Amino acid sequence: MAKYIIKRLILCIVVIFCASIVIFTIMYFVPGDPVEIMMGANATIAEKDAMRHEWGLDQPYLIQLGSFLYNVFINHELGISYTYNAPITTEMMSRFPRTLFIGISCIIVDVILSIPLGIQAALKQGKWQDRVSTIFAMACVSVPDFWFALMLVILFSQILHWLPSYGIGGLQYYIMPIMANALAGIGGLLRQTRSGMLDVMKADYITTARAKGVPEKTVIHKHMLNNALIPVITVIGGHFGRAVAGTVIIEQVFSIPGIGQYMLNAVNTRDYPVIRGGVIILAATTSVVMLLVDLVYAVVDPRIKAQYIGKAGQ
Amino acid sequence: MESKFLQVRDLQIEYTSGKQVIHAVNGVSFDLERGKTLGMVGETGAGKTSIAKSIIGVLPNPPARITGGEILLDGKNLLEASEEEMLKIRGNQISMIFQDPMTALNPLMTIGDQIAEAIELHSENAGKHAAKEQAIKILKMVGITEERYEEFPYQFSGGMKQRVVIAIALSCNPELLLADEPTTALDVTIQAQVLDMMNDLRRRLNSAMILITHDLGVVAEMCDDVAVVYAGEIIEKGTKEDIFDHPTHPYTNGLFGSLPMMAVGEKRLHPINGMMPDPTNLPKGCKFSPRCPYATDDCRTGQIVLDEITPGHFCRCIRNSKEAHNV
Repeated sequence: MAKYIIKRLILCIVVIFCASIVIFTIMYFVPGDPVEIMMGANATIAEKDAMRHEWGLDQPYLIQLGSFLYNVFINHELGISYTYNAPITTEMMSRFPRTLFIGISCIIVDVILSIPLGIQAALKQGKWQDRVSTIFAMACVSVPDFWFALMLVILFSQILHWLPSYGIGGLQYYIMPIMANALAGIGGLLRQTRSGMLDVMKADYITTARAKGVPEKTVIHKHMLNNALIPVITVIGGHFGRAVAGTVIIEQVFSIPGIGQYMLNAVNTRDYPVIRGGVIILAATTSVVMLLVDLVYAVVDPRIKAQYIGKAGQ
Repeated sequence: MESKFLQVRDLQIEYTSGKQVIHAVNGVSFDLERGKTLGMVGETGAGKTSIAKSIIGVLPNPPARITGGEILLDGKNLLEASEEEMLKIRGNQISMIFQDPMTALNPLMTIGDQIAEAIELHSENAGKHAAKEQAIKILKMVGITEERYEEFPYQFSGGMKQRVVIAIALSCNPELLLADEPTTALDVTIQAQVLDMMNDLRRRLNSAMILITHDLGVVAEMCDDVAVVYAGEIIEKGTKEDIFDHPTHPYTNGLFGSLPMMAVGEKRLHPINGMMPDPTNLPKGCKFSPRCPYATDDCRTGQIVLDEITPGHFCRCIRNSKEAHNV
């Protein structure tokens, strides 16, 4: 098992490395010039060239890429922001906890809401509970999260005055962002739970359990749930990536100084080092979460655990 | 009237699929004494598994529905028993061995826990520890060593899994064992081992057994009585000797005709022509008449009853009952 984890961690580094190259290349070839945006029309060509030289933007692609990778992977420095002229690593580290908190809370909300609903929908297949949950799931998936966020603001801030509409502070500042960001995940997770349960309910080993005289409630808890939730774990992992990426929009709506907002501003000003830094941090977070998901798998399913041990032993 | 151990009376089961109603079991009656084995033979889809599942009460409802009849165990009608009563009977008085060992075990539970679960539910002094000890004992009985108690189903071969399934079924010394094609999914070499083991254990516990199979060789080996099921009806039943030495119904004859007879040295087998009738639209009269070489107009219209042709040997065929009366 330890061997497997080490192997996977090495793989994570490879993923982050590749993501770095891809994001660097994309940003390099995307139109738009940070110097033009920063200095505006008033600056002279000489001033702009001097700025380009200072930031190393006059170097050829490969040399820029090389120095970027060297800085990130050898010096562990994400660089200096063009706009704020401040080191990005420190900025990211102060912002990252907020984004991570929103992401994790979203997943928790998703799980708490959608798994019980999905289970109920499957158990009451074809009845009104099932239909209501289907409509609910569809609504969750189809409503755009920024629109839902604005509706929340209108209701809870403008009309009811319960929650602050923007900024950071206590927990109450995070309630609406988390709700808005969790929305899309609920629908997918609910449907996945439902179909997982339906598959398991028809399985032969459920009949075996019933034939043993196991009461129906125990059949559901002990025999159905863990089997049905295995495919759901994968979906949760995928949702985490989406939940963290989704903060780019939600943090903008609620003016939360997280990584998402930082990145979006950076995109607008072509602040390359910030965008790259953000992508690297998100890629690292996502790959670690994926590793955790796979480890949870191993805990739940002995077949997968055996596979991991077998693979690592090879 | 002295009540027999198991009496099934006029059992009727329907499946609903969309708007169609499938008549899976149409008035099946049979008796079984303690310690005896009844072989239930018939083609796939004849309703054998539905009969067994209805006895132990695990028919999936919906789509299945028991529409009539009664199942008496020691005189008590199981179809009217409450769910709590059935929970005590299931796995305890009656237990079932399933057809496909590959899917009959929970993949996420150790095999030991799966055996101990039934014991814990049904034994009087239900402690976890006592249940585990009993489960280990049963495991050894089916020829699996104690070290494998903590292993998971994926670590077992098909034959070994079927041993575990049998161990679960036998763990609470059932009075009635329902074996639904217990060896169909197994290699021929393993089949014999598993059958021998089942028979041996069943004798030791003096359990009655209903053995569902389409393998007449297995019936010859294991059973006291035989019931031939076709399209949800018993078309012939009697002792093993009755059925094997004097098969009377054309379908039973057809079943034997489709077996290779080594002694006679025939070059070709004789299959039964045609297919089982569509269970949503069963023929009137004799259900076998569309495939029967001897069918007459009487067969196609009249209600054919199960006639006793010799004591204890019943056959649902007007031709044979006439012959029997003429003799």
